[in-house]
Amino acid sequence: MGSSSKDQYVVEMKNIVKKFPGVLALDHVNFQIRPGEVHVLLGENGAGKSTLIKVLSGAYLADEGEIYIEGQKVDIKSPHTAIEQGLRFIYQELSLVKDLDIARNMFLGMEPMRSARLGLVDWTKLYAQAGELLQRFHIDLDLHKTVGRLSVTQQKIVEIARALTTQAKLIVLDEPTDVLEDQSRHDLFEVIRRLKLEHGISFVYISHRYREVHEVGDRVTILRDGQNEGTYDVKELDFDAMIEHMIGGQLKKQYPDLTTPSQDEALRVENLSRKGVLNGISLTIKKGEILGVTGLMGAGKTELGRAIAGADSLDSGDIYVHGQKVKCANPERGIKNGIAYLPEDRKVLGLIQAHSIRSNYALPSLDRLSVAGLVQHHRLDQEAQEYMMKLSVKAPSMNTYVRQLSGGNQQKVVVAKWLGAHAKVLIFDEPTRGIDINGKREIYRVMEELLEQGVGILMLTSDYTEALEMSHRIIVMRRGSICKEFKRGEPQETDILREAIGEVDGVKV
Amino acid sequence: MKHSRVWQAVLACVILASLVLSSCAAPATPTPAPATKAPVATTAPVATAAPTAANPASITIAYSGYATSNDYWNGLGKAAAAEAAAKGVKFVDLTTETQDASAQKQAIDTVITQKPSAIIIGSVDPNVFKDTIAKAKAAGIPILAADTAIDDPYISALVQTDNLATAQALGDYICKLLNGAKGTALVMAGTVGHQTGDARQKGVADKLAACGENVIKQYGDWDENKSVQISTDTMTANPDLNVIFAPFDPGAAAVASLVKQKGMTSKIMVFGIDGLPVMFKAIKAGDSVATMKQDNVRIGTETVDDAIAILNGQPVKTPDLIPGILIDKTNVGKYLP
Amino acid sequence: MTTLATRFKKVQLAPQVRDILPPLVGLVLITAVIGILAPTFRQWAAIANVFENASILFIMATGMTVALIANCLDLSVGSTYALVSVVTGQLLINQVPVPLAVLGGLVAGILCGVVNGLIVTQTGIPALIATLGTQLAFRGVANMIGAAVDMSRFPPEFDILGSGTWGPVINCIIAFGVVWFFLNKTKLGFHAFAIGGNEEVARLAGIPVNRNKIIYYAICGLMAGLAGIVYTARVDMAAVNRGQGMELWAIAGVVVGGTSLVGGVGSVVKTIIGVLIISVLQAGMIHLHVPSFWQQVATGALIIVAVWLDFLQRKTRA
Repeated sequence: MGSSSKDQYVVEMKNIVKKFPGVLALDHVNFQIRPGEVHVLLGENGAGKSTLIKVLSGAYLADEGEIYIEGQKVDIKSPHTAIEQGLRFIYQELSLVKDLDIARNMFLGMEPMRSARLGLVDWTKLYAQAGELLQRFHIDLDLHKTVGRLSVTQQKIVEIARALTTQAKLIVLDEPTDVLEDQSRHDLFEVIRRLKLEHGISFVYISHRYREVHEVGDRVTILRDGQNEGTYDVKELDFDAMIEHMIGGQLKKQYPDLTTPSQDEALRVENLSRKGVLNGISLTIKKGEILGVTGLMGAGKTELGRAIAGADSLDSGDIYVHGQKVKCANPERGIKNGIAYLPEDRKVLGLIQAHSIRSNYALPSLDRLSVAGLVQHHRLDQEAQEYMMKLSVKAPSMNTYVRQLSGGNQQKVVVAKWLGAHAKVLIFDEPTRGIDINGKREIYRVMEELLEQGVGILMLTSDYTEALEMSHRIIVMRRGSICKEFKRGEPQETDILREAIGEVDGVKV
Repeated sequence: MKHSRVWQAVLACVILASLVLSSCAAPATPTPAPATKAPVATTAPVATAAPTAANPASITIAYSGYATSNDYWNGLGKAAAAEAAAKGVKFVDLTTETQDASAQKQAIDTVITQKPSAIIIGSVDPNVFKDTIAKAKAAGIPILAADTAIDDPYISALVQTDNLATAQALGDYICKLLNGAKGTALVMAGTVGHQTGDARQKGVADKLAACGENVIKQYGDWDENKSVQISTDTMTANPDLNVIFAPFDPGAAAVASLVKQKGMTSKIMVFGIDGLPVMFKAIKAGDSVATMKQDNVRIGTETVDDAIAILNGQPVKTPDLIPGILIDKTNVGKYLP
Repeated sequence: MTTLATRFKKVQLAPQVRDILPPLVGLVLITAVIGILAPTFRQWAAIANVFENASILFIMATGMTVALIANCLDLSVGSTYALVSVVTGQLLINQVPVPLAVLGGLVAGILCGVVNGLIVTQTGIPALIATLGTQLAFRGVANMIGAAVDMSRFPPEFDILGSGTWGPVINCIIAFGVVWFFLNKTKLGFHAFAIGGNEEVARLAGIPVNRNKIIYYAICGLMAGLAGIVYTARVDMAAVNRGQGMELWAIAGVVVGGTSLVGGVGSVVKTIIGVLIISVLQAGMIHLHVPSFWQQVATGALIIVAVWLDFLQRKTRA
């Protein structure tokens, strides 16, 4: 590492400035990537990570600054230039055609041609090249397998493979593991490590998961408020120091202490079944209690949440809210009964981004806020205002568009929305996925607040630490069934993982 | 979920039913058989190969007019059907309710495969039939054009109102009424490139220009909304407007009622062409001055006669130009019920 | 509390004004340019004409505004317009009293909308295809009822609905009032924005999305029907083959005003401006003696520019 002369960076970004109306997104940022290194880019949401990467990819034009690729000054005007220069970008969302097989995905848009004039693709050559490529990079996947049938990790690896079809100098991975399960992350890291060591390809790795920095990274650059806080050898920097650089202060305690729940029952579910998805699920949640539900992807966590809320239909089972038996045939009934479901992807499912805080707040409460079908705007204004203050939503006014808010503030609006609807049970599906450390802390604070209001919380999460720290009790699900219930403080992460996978021995963590 | 299945089924039925109904329940035409239901007449000898007199019973004439929702065409189709019945030949009406160029072409293409003795087309768009004509030619089926010319040497006969002459006659009539007064005339055509509308516009416009009017030409697209809009805007843009001509009576009648509302009836004369009841009423009420009635009955009758003559190897006159009849306040009573 | 309230009123007003500013500036510019170039345009009769001609389209466009805000595309309004025209015409020539005939026509319009809503919500067929189908079907029904029947010369108490400048304009004001109230004051109107903004969020918030969509389609049908009645009264005749392609003009009017084609954002105030822009442009070109081909080109260009501006605006906001 670092044997090459200091000037010979693969990519060097010098004094990059990018302004948006009212915001200095990048403030003279310097960023250098050495050949054959994995360079982790760390920072809170809004620190400037994606802006920096978008400048490099040609999606944004920098207002000031220069970019050098292998010592040559390059003017990256469009994504096309970046690709020509051997830069590859793999974004958080998968961008593969699910119905095509691996080989065809790898060569999508640059298929080898038998006749360019007639537009005939040379399929034999395509498969031969794809096979050779996978072999050369030691990627063990079946070329003919349809991408839609691969696991998320395998799909990520296919995206990397696609980046390798043409000469790549640098591959940028934007939060690749955010959607991945613990054990499959290691497969991805293995591929990265091999490409780095054997082929000298550099990586920029953007992540929220501080632990991964040590696992996969060689060096780390930390951005804060659009400035480079420093670039370090990963070995020099311990976890606490990293966090301190990121949030620019003393590490505050991430998880709150949970108060003791009341003895009254908020929600009881008996024998909930949905063919092929849920098998006889029974559980109870007390008022002021968080019940954490965890398990692998596809274990049925989301399905359980949706079924209780009435978003999906049930084959059998009974639901009681505050001891009263209720029927939730649709979300409308669910909400009338006081059960609200907060979907995982809050950007798409939780809020209407193009609408104001006030409008989003009103959605589930309109029945209550209307008289004879007419909306009582003054009451709505008043309530929205109250909740904004109560939950300290940071926004110029309640008419601010939700899309202008930070992740944490958006989640608060979601919470305000459901408190306004007098929800008795809130089902959080992956509440903090993709949210930075500050945002997380604020969401946990909001959860605490909800508990104080006597709300029962069902938290569906695949983050085991979160399940351990933020639940009074933890249920582990596997293939649509509850396989184990733990009390707070009882299990270790390994215990949960073992239950989730269903192996008793020999689990690698 | 089961509930919605039922709904889906019911809806599917409703949609199908309404589509079927809408495609065959136009009350004006007694047997508007869709192409697929057309009686097959494969036994008819290929006309051009059999110059001897054919047995009328073995003759099938397929007819596709502009649209049955249009009074003029409805009358033409009925007259043709009546003439066919009188001559003892089979008659298949393929006309759709509303004008639809591609549906018309498809219906004719389909009927060619069933080998009728002759085909009469009153075209929505005369420019779409190139390959249809080639197919008919290959099958030896003569094609006749009714009302609107189709520009192809294979067309055996064209029977139509002499649109240009009719419009010129109307133009002369308007000039006479103007009696030397000069002003602006709005003379509308139909859709761009529609021969009938163009000829009507040209006939009126040429005559009016010759007698000193300032002529403004516009396309009304055979659409009342648009004709009215153009007329009212032109009225304010040209204070000396004294003549409005729409190439179809519904448009002219709509314009006339707007002119009346604006209190301009005494200043602006409105004219149409077609000869439809709605215009007769307007003429009688004094809102509109005159229209030219096309002799749609004669066109329908003579086209069928020509078809039979061609099948019998007799010569026919083409184009067979049928003159229009001027209708104004003096003779409108004859045409009103 | 009062100071707080007034402060929020101010903030609330600003974006609304800002939103309608681009189309408003466009309207003023186009009107000014035409007014300068064409002296005949500078008279009350010409302006009244613009309002009269815009009115029919505007009434239809108010319903389309509701539909588009809720992301319920409706391509059948041109046929609904014709169908209601002949239904009302038939009722009138059969001596049905005027109020009942008008009511009958409006009910026919609502029914058309309900059929659209049922097909879209119950079968899951995309609105584009479903309403394209009903566009044909409704016109078929109109033909059944009214083909080759002379329906004209109606009683004067019917004609008054569409005659002169005030007949259409008063109907416009009614349509505007109804739709504005619906969108801004009622729960259902509030829901329309939510459903258009993000249907899944709306569903999860407990809004009965399907039922509401049927209502939005019904309003769209109702307004298309009202437009059909006003126009029938205006020209004093009913006919089956009118309104062809009018759905595109209605959509254009809504979109040129700045209501989003993808739903969630919009207002009927914008639609006034959009429809006026189209009408002023059309009238202006006649006053300027522009050949008719160029009129089509200009209107087409206007629509593209409007949609492009909407696209740019959404991009910068994102």
